[in-house]
Amino acid sequence: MNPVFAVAIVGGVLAVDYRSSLRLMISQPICGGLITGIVLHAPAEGLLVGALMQMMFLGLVNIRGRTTPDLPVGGVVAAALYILISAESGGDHLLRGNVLFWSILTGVLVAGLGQYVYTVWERSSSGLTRAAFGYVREGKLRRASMIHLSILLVHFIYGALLIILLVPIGTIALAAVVELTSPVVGGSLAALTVILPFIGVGSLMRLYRSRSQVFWFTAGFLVTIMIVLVRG
Amino acid sequence: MFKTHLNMMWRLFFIRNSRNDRTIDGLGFFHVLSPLFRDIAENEDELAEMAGRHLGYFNANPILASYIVGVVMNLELKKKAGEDISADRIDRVKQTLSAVLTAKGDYFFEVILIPLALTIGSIFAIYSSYIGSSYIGPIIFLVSYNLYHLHSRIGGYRTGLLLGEDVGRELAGNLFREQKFLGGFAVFVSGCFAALIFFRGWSLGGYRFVIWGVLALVGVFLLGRKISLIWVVLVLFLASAIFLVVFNGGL
Repeated sequence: MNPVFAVAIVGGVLAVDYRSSLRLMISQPICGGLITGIVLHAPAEGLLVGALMQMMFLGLVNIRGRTTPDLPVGGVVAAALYILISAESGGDHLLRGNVLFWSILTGVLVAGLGQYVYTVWERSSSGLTRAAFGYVREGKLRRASMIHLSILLVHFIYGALLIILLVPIGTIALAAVVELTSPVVGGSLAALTVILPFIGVGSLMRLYRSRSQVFWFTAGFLVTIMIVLVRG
Repeated sequence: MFKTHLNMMWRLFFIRNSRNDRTIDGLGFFHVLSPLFRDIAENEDELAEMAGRHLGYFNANPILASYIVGVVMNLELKKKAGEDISADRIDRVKQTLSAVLTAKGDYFFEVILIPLALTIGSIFAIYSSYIGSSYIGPIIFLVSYNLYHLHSRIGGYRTGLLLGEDVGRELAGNLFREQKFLGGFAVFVSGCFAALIFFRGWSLGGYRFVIWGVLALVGVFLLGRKISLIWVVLVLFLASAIFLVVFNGGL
């Protein structure tokens, strides 16, 4: 099967897991990146991108069903772009950091786009529910259920279509951008793997701010430092 | 009835499918209950009357909504058996449980369990070379989260069905008794994660990376008060890349 179609199916399924409340959490980027990597025969690379995206959003919480960034599709796009562009560049280590930067940037933008699209969708899709309730009042329960279930297809198509549109174009465009920017950035961006998790630490600290939480956070921090220092 | 239970249980997993701003998960809630109505209604009029009482607003944590479905099913079955249970009473129970369980479920799953499982998974993903398999991080995350998730979804439905309106006592006493411990543990693990990230920054990039790390933390804090996390992450991601290009051998 064409790798882009295979990744599109993965993206569609993960979008369903995330948006339908199936919530097995295979849609989290740390898992989605790994699955994308397995599909593209590069699991380690997929996991790297997925884990980095995950770590930046560790403190993201979905309270009261607010629309959140579309991390599942963003994670799949980022992992697929990284793997495909890296393969095209022949695994050049100097380029890897640069490829990683552009892939994750695209992934984060896709996540933001998903948040916007679903905010609009939730605002405008109440007509479907109204129609379904109308069918129920007429005694046509099965039709109402069909409307509810057919929205699964909307989630799937959104995830899959975005990947089908973005990944092939993104692979070509980002490969060109990487080539263009490489003389400027050199191999400096390879250290993104080291400094991006700091954003995740910040988002976790933002989440845990009460006095007792600050105490336990500091305790965990100090205990780990002691263990690492003692072990040398 | 066994078939009805199975039918309702798989539907529970898709309750949030048709979420919208007007009725939130109203259609999803009806969709879960519709096999019950078909099962117990004796004629088309009764079916329309029963179904008609459950068309409207429903907003609850999707995982713990299973308790509410169980309780509503219990009350509907009692009503059918002839007990004096009004539609208002069922609606009141539904609304009260929704409010309580949403607060409880959102806090337990979104603030404690998911960040905890993800942080542990991330630590294992970073230090996978010590363990031998890089897949252990995602596996640990999926197993620890889904143990609670599936237990709450399936067990919640059963508990709600068995206890009916008495489910309140169960919720007050037994639901997530370990919440306090896990809450503290989640924050403790976050502290461990922070220390590991700072050590890694120090050993691979020296003081510059550590200073950048501190600046990133301050950035998340300050920007996070004004704008949503996606923008905070985007700004800091771009700033991190510029920092690396300027101070780490680029240009």
